[in-house]
Amino acid sequence: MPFPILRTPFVVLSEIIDLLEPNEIVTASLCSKKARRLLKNHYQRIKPSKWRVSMFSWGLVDIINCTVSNRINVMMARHISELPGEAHKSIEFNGYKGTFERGYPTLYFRDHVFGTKMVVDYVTDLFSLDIYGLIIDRNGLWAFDWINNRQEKLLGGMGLSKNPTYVLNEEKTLDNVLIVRNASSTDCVSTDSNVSDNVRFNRKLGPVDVVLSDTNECWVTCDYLMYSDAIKLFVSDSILTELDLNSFLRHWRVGGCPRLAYLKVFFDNKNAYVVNFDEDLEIVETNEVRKFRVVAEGDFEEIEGDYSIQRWDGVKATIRCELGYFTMVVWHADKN
Amino acid sequence: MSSTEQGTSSAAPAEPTTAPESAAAPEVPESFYYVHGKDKVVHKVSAGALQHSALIHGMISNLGYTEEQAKANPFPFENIDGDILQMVVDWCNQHKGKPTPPEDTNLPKQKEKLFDLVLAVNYLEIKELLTYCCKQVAMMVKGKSPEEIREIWMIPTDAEDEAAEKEAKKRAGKEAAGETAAAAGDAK
Repeated sequence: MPFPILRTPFVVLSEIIDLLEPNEIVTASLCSKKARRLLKNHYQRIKPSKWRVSMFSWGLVDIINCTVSNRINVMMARHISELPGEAHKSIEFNGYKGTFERGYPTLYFRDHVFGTKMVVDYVTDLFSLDIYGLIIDRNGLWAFDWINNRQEKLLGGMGLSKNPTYVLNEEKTLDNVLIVRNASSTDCVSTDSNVSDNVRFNRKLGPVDVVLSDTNECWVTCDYLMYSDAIKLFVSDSILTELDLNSFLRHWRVGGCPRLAYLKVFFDNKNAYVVNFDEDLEIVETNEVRKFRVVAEGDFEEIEGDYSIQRWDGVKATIRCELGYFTMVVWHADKN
Repeated sequence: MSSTEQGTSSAAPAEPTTAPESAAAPEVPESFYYVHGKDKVVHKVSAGALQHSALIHGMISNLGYTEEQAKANPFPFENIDGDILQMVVDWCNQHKGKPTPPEDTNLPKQKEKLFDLVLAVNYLEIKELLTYCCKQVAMMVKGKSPEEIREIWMIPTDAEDEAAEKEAKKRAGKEAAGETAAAAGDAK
């Protein structure tokens, strides 16, 4: 039974809009220009300040609503060659063909980069939000400059993703990625980056806010850890040893990596277990449980500490040692 | 617990029958008020149930009716259909003095009535019921394409909007011309 939504009073309409998920709002906005105007006006009045728009350089736009687990794809641009057959629900927008599958609209373009820019512009304009996160693949480095030119607000987070495989090519080195050194906060959401052999630690790394290192090569060394001035550091498939981590902690204690708030090492050897710390580190056992901020506002994770370590200036960190993992959370005065 | 008198249009209803109150009746006798909709059928509703409606609650507070006066002067809601008002009264009674659950299974099932119900509930300022109704409306478009949403929510296409706009302009032009002609006639 139809419901004439546009004939409802303003208060009711606002309440209904507030109950919709971001992907539903984007979809509804494609119904007509009037519907789009109405929704846009709504979000100009009530800015969804807790929503974070992320763009994936291969055309996907998603929104994190409060917590990273509440992440919703809202729109996508694909190349026209990927347009599926008639079995799909077809849509049309501004002359572009599209489909509606998996709960969000996908539009098809001859120029995929143009299309990606268009859908990102569409979503950010609809919600009056800037791009917050960027995840790129090997063909997506154009997105850095594009974002920097289109908005004043700095990126909140970035990630490298293998879609299908992330490889920095000869022309684009890690220095290009460091455009995110201007990132204003500490957030990052992507995992599974796969940096090629061409990219190795060159003592220029930092100050990137978030670094994801996922490699089966041995370039993530103790030196790498010490010189990467990141706030959040994720190291996957690591071959770092107990000795390396002891050296790193010694470096941290005397003021190294002062911005570091979170370090997570995933050992290549799933049975690796760090238990031996050097005495001079003055590490003490603890069983304290504390919460810390992970990505978006309100998204907290808990760490059950095994050890506590103190820096020369009094700043403490909690260490958690699990089979295959090493986690360290630094308790900065700004509560991470 | 409400009772309904069918078909009377008098302002002062003749003794509405009262359904039995629950066993755990309060020690202080509960006061009752009377409301009627477009069909003039009077519903007897307890003050506790009416607490849900900010509008009626405000009216009661401002008027300071005695029970006798309340009986003689049912609150008239001429803009609300009788069956819709019945639904609202039933809901208020079901939720009298209870915390409202996050999901309400007592919502009226007739979808064709939802629009009128929403308007009534909004007018009567029943916040919780309005939220439930709005949830139902929002649920209608879960997983739907723009075309389907357009149909479900009766959103006109751009072409229809443009045609309606043209029509409205034409009508406004005609009305303005008619007024000018009338004014010229008056002047003669």
